[in-house]
Amino acid sequence: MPGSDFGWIIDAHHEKIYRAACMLLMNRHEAEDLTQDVFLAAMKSYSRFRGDSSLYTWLYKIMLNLFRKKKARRRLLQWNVSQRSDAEDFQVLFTDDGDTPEETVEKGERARKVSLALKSLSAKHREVVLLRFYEDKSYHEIADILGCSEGTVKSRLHHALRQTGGRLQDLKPARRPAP
Amino acid sequence: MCESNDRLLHLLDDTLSAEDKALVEDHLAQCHHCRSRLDQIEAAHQFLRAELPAVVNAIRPPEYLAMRIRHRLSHSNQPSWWQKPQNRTWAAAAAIAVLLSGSLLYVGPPRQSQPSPPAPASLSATNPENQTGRTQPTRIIVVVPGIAPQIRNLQRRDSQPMDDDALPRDFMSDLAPAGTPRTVQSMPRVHRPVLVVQPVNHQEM
Repeated sequence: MPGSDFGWIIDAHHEKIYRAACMLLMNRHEAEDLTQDVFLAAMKSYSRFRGDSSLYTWLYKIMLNLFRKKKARRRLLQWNVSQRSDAEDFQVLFTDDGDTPEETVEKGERARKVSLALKSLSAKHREVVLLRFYEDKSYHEIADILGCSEGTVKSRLHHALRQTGGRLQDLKPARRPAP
Repeated sequence: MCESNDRLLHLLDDTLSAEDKALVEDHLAQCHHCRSRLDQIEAAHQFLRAELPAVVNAIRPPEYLAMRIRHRLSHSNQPSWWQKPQNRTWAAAAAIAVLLSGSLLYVGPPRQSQPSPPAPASLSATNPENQTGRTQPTRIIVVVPGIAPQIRNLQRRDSQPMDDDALPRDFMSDLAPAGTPRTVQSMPRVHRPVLVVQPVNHQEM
């Protein structure tokens, strides 16, 4: 497929792929690299796309495969977000130049809670959480994307919820900066 | 009998049938263990359901990202030297030439019981050793565009590292302009594969 015809696919999907990559990697620079690699791999293998799933689901699968290869290369079997990025880098993701100070604080607080909730999860549990609560996929669709059984998906999700529930009890509102 | 994790998840997703939902809720009203299990995951379920999409959707990709991806993809479309059809043809022709010349020029160890075939006149005239029945050692030099010259001495199993002095002078003088140092690095760029077969003096081996 000529690269010029691939432009509309980039325009339509690069934002969502980038967001998902950010949540998996919790690092914006690595997420940019991963997003680029996803479209590069997609262009090379576009002839093998049979249309069994949506184009976005196909891209998402490519992203997960590249993400897992990235992990394997680094030999980070117990990949932990806290080892890869700091909270400051993650919160930069949510800042917008047009935000008021109150909005910035509110977004930062939300981001802090979510990042703390997710950072305690392993990569495979985070994958399931993202697909279920962000992508709003059914258990059957998640099983298809991850290449495992529905039972495994439910088991991982239950474990992730239990772990996140325990983490949420420890979470307290962040101290607001003095006005 | 306590409820399975599966049914608790479906209860939170509100995907149980009305009958099953009533059964699960009846059980939860009586079983503190299952009630505690449900409470533990329900808070996380509600939190992630409410907060995660809002947080993720607030992420704004950098404006240059789409441009960067397009730029990378456009560069990946350009074929490398090896992927260009005309270069592939030349490289394949050179490889075939090397194989053919190697198979034609290779002569096994001299047999003691049978006399060796007479050497070519041109070689016999320049190398007296040919009169003993052994074949003149031959060197093949292949120069392919974009690839450093490869030298192979026939009748020697070990490949020799190329040194400047071992280069044939007449070959270099043919290719290099006057005044060019006779080194591999300074060899002028050729536009087609060149195959040179030369006899090798004993001093060079």
